[in-house]
Amino acid sequence: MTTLQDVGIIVFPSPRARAYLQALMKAEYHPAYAVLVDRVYEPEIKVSDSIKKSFFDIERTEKETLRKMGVEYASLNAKDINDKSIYDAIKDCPQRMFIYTGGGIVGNKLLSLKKLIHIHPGIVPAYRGSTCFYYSIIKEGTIGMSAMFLSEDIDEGSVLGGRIYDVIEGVDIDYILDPYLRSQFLVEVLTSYVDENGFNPTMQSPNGGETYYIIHPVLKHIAILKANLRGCRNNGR
Amino acid sequence: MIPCEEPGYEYSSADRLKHPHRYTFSRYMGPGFIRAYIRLRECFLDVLEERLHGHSIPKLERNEAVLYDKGDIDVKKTLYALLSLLESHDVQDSAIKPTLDLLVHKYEVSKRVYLKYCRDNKKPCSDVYDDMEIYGLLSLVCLFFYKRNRNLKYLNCSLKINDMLSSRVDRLGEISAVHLAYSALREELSIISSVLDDEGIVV
Repeated sequence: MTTLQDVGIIVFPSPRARAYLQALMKAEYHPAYAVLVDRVYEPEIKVSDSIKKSFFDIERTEKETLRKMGVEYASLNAKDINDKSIYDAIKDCPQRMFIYTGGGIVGNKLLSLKKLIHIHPGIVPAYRGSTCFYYSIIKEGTIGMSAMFLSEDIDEGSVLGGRIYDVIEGVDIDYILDPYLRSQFLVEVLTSYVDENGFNPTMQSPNGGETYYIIHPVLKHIAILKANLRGCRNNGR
Repeated sequence: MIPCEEPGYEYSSADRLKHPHRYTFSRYMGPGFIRAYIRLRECFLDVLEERLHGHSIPKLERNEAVLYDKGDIDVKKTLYALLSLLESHDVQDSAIKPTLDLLVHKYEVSKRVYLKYCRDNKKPCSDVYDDMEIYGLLSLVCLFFYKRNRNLKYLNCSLKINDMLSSRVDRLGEISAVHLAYSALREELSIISSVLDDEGIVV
């Protein structure tokens, strides 16, 4: 087990937070400290035991995983990531970096206090913005992940790495595959952080960037139908 | 009352200018959803065709010089100018994209486009956001731009605008707005059919 002395995590209960914590526990990377926003997340979908086993257990609460890991955490009420209670909870922490699990657009005050590690579901700068993975499924047949330090400009922070994944057929993308792939890439990035004794961030190219907006349901259906079709072809069906 | 309904497609089922849909975490419903979408759009096209019957196609006002104005951004004139540029094959995307991106951003974020925006801070400098001609124009410009570069961002924006136009099919106003809405819906449906064909998706 490796305790990441310089890394904490701000936990907003969500599929993403659950996937991150469970992947970190499995990889035996323990954040040195956690801030847990005290709210209940009720999963919108039911998943089978095999999905829970192969991906992550969307029903297992963040608190449960933090306790299993033995990570020290502060539980607090916060309406979003910019809530004063979060700032107060991490301002005196020795950790310089915190893993971001959601909670809205981060304001300058928090950004100037700590580095926030974000896994964005698109290769930047080509895929910035919201629900980019659906766009890349239609365009490339794949889902990209980028790790970055959050910056004032959305999805324009310095990049810690990128990885392209094949789409897995028959898995809910919003609630399972997206958070799962983010969690896998988070572990990969942290492995390289541990191996290389730090991050090596690079600035994003100023050219070729595109910002996408929430995908329309028609395009979302086309992306999922395409993914399912690819899965059928790959399985020889 | 909206003249067309499909239980499987909720995105045009209320006045989407007054009650915009945010499209977050939309549910996957299977191929039947695409079938419902196509049926509904075809129904709205029939309604619009009926309204256009007996009317001549309005002449579009086009002046590209407006793109180089220093004053406030007149959205309608700007969109007509973009439409004109899009018909010219020797115009680079870079001549169109920054202006179009600003308007796409405005629609995607607020689900409204105002008649005018201030040049300096890009904030609305008009209270009017219900000019339906503007939405039809923006949708068409997005679709023509998509056909040039296959950038799904623009097809995405057009689909949302067309949901709203469909939801107000009986309140589009002037015949020019009806004509633009009809053209936008027809173009969109043709593009979506091509995308489905290209991807080998049968619904």
